[in-house]
Amino acid sequence: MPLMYELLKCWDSTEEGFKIKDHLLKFTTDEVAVLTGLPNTGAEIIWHNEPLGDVLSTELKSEMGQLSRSTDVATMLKTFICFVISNLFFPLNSLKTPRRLVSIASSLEEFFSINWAWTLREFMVNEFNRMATKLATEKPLGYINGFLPLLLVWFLEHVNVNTPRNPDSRPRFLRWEGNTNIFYSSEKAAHLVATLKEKQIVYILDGLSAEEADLVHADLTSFQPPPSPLKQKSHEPSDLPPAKKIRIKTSQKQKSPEHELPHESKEFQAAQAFAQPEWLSHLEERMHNLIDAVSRKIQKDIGDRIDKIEDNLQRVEGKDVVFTSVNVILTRRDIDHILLDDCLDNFHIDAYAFFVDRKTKAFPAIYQPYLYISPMHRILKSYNDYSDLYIKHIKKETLKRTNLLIIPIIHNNHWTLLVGRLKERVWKLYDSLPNPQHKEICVTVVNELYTDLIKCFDADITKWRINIVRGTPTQSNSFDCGMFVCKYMEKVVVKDKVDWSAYKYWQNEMPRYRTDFAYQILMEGESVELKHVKKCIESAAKAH
Amino acid sequence: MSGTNAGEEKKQDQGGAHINLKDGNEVFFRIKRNTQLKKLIKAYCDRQSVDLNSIAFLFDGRRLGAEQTPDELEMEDGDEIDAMLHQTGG
Repeated sequence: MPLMYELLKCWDSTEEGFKIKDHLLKFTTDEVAVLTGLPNTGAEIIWHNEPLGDVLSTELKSEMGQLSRSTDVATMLKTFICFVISNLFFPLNSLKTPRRLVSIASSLEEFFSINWAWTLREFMVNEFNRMATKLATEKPLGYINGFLPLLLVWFLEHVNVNTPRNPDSRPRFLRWEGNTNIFYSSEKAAHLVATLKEKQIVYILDGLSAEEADLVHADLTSFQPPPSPLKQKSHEPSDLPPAKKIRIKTSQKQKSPEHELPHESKEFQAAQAFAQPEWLSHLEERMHNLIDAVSRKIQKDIGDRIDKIEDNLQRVEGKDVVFTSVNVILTRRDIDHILLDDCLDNFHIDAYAFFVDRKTKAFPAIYQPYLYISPMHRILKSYNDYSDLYIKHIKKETLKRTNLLIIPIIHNNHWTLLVGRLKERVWKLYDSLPNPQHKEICVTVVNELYTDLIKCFDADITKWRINIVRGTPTQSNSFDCGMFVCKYMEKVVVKDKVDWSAYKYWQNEMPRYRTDFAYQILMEGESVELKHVKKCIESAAKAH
Repeated sequence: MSGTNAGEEKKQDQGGAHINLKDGNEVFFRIKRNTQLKKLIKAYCDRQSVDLNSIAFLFDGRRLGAEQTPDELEMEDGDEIDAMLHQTGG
């Protein structure tokens, strides 16, 4: 991503190319064709002018994730095309998809009649222009639509800084398959662009032949170096799955659509008549493998919840604990609660705090120093002595170095977040079900804290005002308050002042935040379980 | 919470451990040092007729994993385990 932003800064809207240090590298349709293997021929569509329908790209993605080998081939192909077009080629931040998508995916004839290379490029150029305008006016860029991995590959092809892992693969996208080591942080990306030398720029793609160009109806002459080309670089690991998908598609295409997938629709049946069995079964096998890979990937990314839980169950092989940090253990059951819209408990909140803590430590420039007090402190206080464990990190010296005290409060089955702003000497209460009565418990909490930490505070924190923060996003159900507290936590630790009005949509996004949270836990658990996984792999290898 | 206290003791040698569960009342258990605490937890929940998933068990203020054993936790004979209800909120 950082590389992408660096590149976008170099975009020249009038020339429709990237200008680096006065040298221009055009971003052309022929290049897109050669990179993706999608021929530069056919009907040109201006994608964002297509009227939108009511199918969401996320729905198509989860459909894709549900495909299996038992799915009939026509459905499989249709779902696949829908997925590639909506999620890879033309993802929109609104998640909407054009009405036409369904008809394109249902008819191979229509699919092949379209000049995808041109359409892709046009869509991306439009986005680049939009970004350039935003950059010029110093507005936040926001979400960038379009097939961005393509931009990365384009860049990789145009600078000889990195070596492709599969130099002879075609289409060129595949040359970079598995180049996962290419990653540029924002500093590195900026540096790369700033110091890019003339000799590092590749004007004519490496090893480009007339045959390769012909295959995708690209004009070889368009690859001549422009008079003053210079290009910038930066890389990032780009997703291989898109590359794979594209490849398959194109190979199908090049081999002529008739070989595709037989079934149901007339086109398919006609196609089958022409098909040579061997070729067909080979193609089908590839298709199956591809789809397997893609759906696995999807399940990994967002997956449907059940699958994820199942996967995880397998991974921990009968083990109950899926996540362990210092004071927190989460079990499978805890993951279920997150995913199934249950109320969150104190361990969930602590686990989220763990992730926030790690993030803030990784990016100290963005976040302010804070101290977190686990709800476990008060819970244990109510019936035994171990509560000190959860406040022992609060000391006079640590308080001096900190701006915030973050205290999630559970009271009467409702989560709120109390934040002490130490410099301003005020308490802020974040409440997703705003109610002045929720303030009462805060008084108790602050008083208790003052007593427990009597020697730590210079000021009398019980005298500070407790302000209910207004304008924060709120919940409209009876189970999301814990998740809201997590999200508040994540925002209040940011250095810049938070504009809460920008997060009004949170309630709608809660299912996603819950999934993200569960995913984070499972991925984290994975590192804990890595040894175990390795063992499984080894024993599987032995069995072979 | 309608929290309960479970005191647990475990025992010496690779052999048995004594476990004491409290809930206002105390409940004693004896398990092997290398037996997963799951066994104890299940027995406790059965005896008290509580849902295993509504309760978390703590040792020295930290949550226990049901698959942990007294050995792993380096428990001493007579150590206590606390049972607490999950504090949930919506």
